[in-house]
Amino acid sequence: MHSKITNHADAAIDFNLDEDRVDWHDRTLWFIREKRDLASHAIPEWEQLREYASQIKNNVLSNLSQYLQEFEEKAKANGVIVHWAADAAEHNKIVHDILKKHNIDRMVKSKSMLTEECGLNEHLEANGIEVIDTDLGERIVQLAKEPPSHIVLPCIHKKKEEIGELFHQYLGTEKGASDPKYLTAAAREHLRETFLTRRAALTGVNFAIAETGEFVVSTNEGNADMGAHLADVHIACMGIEKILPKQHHLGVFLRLLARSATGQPITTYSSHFKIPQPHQEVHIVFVDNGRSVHLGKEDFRNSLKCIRCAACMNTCPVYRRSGGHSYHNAVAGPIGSILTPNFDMRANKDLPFASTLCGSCSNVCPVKIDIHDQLYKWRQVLMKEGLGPVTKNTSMKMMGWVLSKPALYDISGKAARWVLKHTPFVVSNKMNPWYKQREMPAPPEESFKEWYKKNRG
Amino acid sequence: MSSRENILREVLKNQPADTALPVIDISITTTHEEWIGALKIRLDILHVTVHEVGDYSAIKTILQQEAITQERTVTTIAELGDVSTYIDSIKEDAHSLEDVDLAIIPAHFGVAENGAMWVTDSLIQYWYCLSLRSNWQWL
Repeated sequence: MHSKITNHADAAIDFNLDEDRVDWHDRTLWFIREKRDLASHAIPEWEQLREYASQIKNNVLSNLSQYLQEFEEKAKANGVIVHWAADAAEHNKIVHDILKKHNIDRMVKSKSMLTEECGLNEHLEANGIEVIDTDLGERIVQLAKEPPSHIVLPCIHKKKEEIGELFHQYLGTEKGASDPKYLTAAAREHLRETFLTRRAALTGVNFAIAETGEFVVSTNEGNADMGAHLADVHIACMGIEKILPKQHHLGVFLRLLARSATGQPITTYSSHFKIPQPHQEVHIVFVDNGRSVHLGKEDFRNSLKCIRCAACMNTCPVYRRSGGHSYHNAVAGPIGSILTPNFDMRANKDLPFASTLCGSCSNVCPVKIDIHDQLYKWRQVLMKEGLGPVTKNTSMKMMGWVLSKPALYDISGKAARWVLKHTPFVVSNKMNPWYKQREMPAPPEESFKEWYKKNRG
Repeated sequence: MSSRENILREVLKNQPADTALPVIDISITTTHEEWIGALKIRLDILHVTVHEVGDYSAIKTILQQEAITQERTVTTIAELGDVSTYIDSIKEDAHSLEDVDLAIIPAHFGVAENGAMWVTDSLIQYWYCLSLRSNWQWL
């Protein structure tokens, strides 16, 4: 099911081969979007909260170097060991070195999109370290040897029957069983043993507070807590943009995060980590991996405000019908489409075109990122760089040429209407993607110009 | 130059001009009684059972009924030690809590808007036993 195709449109065609899956994927994510609406409408000051969150994040970006140093100083004073990683390779090496130092070859990991971005699991496994993802959805895609397709719901593309088959294969559940309660109980039992026997746990970081040096991890399954509290070594990895200035700012974001993500009032666990437990080592790894360069791009730096709620994915008509794997990156959907070209414009040149530019993503974003405006700006950058699709490039040039010559435009319009009327098969065929899964309207009898001359001229 | 210095130098070079932090002013006009009502509604939505009690003896009565169906119960509240096994969470080995069926722990406060409880290490050192639970009751 997982596509290795690295072009969104082609991968979307692949996903759409299973129409039932697309319909169910679309409906499920829209259901979550509706839950988000109900939850947000129940908070009278919702728009005020979004504005506060946006302003706080703007302030963070404009003082990031100071806040990072402030956080580092406070975290060290709390007894936490702080590391700095310039890129994915350095991040992976730091984590590996910590494990080596403690002679650990098995580790539990709760959900962390940053480690997906850095390819940590693959790196550690290549070095003989077993990583067990403890978020249930992450564990499912790990067993399936697939990347997550959604940052909050990693296995949303999978049907329960497929999960049942995986569990039968790896966890020994009954063949053909697909009852979610039965499967969840089996996974819980399997993970419980894992938690009790692993000496190292890695978590992500949702928010890191400069004022206190503490960090907050939000989960629904408590898996970050179980891992971190039972392990001798806790490693927390965070992108440098995750900082908040003051502790009292946290409430703004916790009120927005889960409501935007799943429509819950708050995640089941919002765990604050500040001072290591006795006999425990806590490490924090700050990761740049292109973020500092991204910060310098005036038109695009705003996307660093993202708190990874996935509201933009759940509402996006393209994401819902093309699936997360079609974005071929750890962070998919509209936000992924504006983040990833910052890191590798050439490899992700298809993504800003994977949008209708309807603006729904910007409307639901809890930190007011101008997502659809940035998608449009990325398209302009890509076309100027000559990285736009060849067919689009050629057709736009042709269209520009025709539109600049009124007489030619009139003739072309008449010719097109004649073709559509008398020889529709010339355009209505399998070669023309516009005719896939849709019928086109009948061609007009006359152009608007002709109509205007006749009726208003 | 270390990665730390490189990252900080690049961030400083590229960060935009300073923008001010907002003054957060969300006035709360709701009364105490209204919040209690809101909390109960929220917990009901979350399928959490709520018991209103006046003292520890009332809690014990509820727990004695509950304990019938539970195999191993522990508490970090000394006053409840005669109806559940009292554990000193600081001294207890976290791994020994693996098979706990019911944990009775105190919380600093509850949040009416979302039904959350604020629990710290000083109240229960090993949060992980919370994470194994799927049946919540508020007392």
